[in-house]
Order: sequence, then structure tokens, then C-alpha cells
Amino acid sequence: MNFTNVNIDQFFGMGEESNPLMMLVWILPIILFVFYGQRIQLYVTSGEIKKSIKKLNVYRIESKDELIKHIQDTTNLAHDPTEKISRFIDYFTIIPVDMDPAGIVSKIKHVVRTRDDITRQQVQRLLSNNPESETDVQKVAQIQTLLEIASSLQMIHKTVNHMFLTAKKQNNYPLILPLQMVLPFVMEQAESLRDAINAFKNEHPIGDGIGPMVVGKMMLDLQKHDDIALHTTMTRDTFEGRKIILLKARGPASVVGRPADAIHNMIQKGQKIDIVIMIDAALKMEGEDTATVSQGFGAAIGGIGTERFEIEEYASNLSIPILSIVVKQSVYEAITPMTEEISLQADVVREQVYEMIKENTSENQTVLVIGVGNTVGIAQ
Amino acid sequence: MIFQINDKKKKQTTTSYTISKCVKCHTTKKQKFKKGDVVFAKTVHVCTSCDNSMIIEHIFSKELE
Repeated sequence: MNFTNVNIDQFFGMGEESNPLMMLVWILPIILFVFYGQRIQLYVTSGEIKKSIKKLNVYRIESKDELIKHIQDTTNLAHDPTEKISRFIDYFTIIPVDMDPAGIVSKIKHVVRTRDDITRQQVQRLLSNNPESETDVQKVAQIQTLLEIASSLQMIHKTVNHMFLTAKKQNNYPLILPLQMVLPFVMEQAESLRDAINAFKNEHPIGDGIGPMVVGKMMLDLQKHDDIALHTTMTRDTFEGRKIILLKARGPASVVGRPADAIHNMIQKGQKIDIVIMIDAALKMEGEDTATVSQGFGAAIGGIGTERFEIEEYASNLSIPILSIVVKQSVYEAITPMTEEISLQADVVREQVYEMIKENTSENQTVLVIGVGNTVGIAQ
Repeated sequence: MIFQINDKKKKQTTTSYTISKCVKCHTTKKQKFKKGDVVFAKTVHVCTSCDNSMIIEHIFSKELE
């Protein structure tokens, strides 16, 4: 093919015989995109983000309404709880300064515990205003969880809306880019939280409850000790000459317990621990199958990190090996009703725990088995 | 329709089930989940095969076809 006889003027429609209108067709969009390209992109992206913000706003309002309706339906309160609930939902937490990170874990733990304890007390007080209402642990924990969901959805909506409005106000396209990038993940999280509401309202086990489910069955028909730590239950058992200590959050309330405090209390009382086995739900990677069971080393426990830090601290100080078994699942599966695939893995994991005990310990040794996760709808 | 392209995720309908197991003969019974069902709690029903008590083994949600 011969490229040498290309007429540039003809190609761009600028030749003598060309139509000036045709020339404009080429030139105008170029000028438009050079000077207003970012604004056009901002306009297109804004449309998509606006739709997501609208959805987030609906989730926020729905979660709050559902919580208020749930409180009114289940407690027969004499007064309207809307004002108090709105105040609770708006609570914020200021994470301690980390310019000098030494000792920050205890500070974070203190702040998070303060929020948790005070919110629980306020929910208890809100319910006990009515003499007919049952202010038992289960109901308080359920309302506290629903409150956390509503509060998280409120915070997600506020943050996304703030980032969007700031970019719009400044007409700044680069400012909207990070928001556009993280929005699919934020929406996944928000949709999971929205769908989690029904699970917690009906006290249906969630995917994260696989750890307590494994240990709960091992605890059946054994003497339980509920005073080891807040919302945490402990049982002693024996298996092929080994002493086993079973630990999980006290179900069927929507609580995760305090395993680090439980270990601390055991050590304080002189309890010898030779090995720790932790069972938890873990985030699967894209491409991995849901409900895949994996074994590994180290403390399998999520959350803000303070529990894991403390467990690792006790284990390293006393040279206690920590082994873990995890059941893989997505963010959505972890906080929404437990699926059949995940539930059916409980027996497989239980077998693996006993196998792990046999392979890694000898007779007369003590094994601590911890079922980590939210134990809603799962007893022991 | 053959030419219809739908990128949007279909909203899946799920339903929850409670699986109870007889403590003696291990007969299982599957029924729809109802509020108040708790894993490892005894059910109000007795086993149809041996009249012994039943315990809830699993509670899970399943997508409807």
C-alpha cells in the first residue's frame, strides 16, 4: 500500500474544495476536549456517583427506620426512642494519635472498649425504662449490633457524600478519581450491611459464626463457665489423654466475646496452655471457592487488631504455638445469613481440630481451642 | 431473549432452613427457618422414627432456583 500520496489538507477536510462545516466537525471536538475534557469526565462520573450516593442514603434511612421499628415492636416502650437512637447513631470515635506509636494498642483498646461499654449501658437504660421489657443480654446485644450497622451506614454515606461534594464544589476531576476507584468496594460493604440487618433481626447465624459453631458443638453437654470474660464462655474436656479448654462467645446472643481477656484471666489463674488452636472465618481471595477450609499459623482473629495483638503477646511471651483453621468467604457472606456450603463445613473443621490436636500435642498437654466470630443464633 | 444483554446482577431470592437431627437415631428433618430457632438447641418436635428429642444441627440460607 502506498502512503506517500496522502494529502494532509484533504485528510483533515481543509482542502480548497472542502466544506468548512466538515472542518468544524474535526476541530470543535478537539478544542472542546482540550479545554473542557476534565469537566466532561467529571460530569459523566458524577452521574454514576450520584446514583450510588442515592442508594447509600436509602440504606442509611432504612437501617435507622428498621432499628426504631424493631425496638418499638419488641420492647413496648412507653416513649418514642427516635431521638435517642438518632443520637446513638451519630456517635463518632476518635482514634488515638499515632505520631509516637509506642503503647498505641492499649489506647485504641481503651477508646473502643469505652464506646462499646457505654453504648451497651445506654441501650440497657433505654430498654429498662419500660418495666415490662426484658433487658437481657441477648436483646441488648441484638439492638447494639443493629445500632452499629445503622451507624456504619450513616458514616459511609456521610464520607462518600463529603468527598463527592468537595470535588464538585472545586470542579476538580482528580479529586473525584479516588472516590470512583473505591466506590465499588464501599458499595459492596454497604450492601452487605443492609442485608445483614435481617439476619440480626431474626437471630439467624451469619457466615462469621462458623468458628463458634465448630466449638459450640464440641461444648455440648459439658459444664460451662460463663465468668471467664465478658460475653465469653469456657468449657473443659479431655481428648485422647489431652486436656482441652474450649472457648467461644456466649450464644445465641449477637456477641463476639473477649478471647484475649479470657486468655489473660486463665494465665493469671495459673492455667498452663501448651498450644492454641483458633477457628475463624477468613476473607477469600477473588477466584477462591467459598467455604474452602485452610490451615495455617498465627492468630486468626479479625476486628480492629487489639485482641490479636494481645493474644500474640501472651503466646510469644510464654512460647505457646498458635495454629489456626479458617473457612474462606466473601465480605458479603461473612455478615449475611450463613450459606449451606459454609454451614456444612463445620463437621469437616471439627474433624481437622481433633486431627491437629493429635498431631501437634502429646498426652497430658493442654490445648486451648477458640471459636472466633459472632455467635448470633448459635448456642453451646 | 437471545439478543438481550443484561449486565446487572440479578437479585437472588434466598430462603432459610433449619436442619434438626435426632440425638439417638440421627434421623434428620429439614424445615423452614423460623425466628427463635437456635443452632444446638433442642427442638419442640420429637423424632418421628424413635420418639427421642431432636437438636438443631444447621441453620442456613439457600438461593432459590
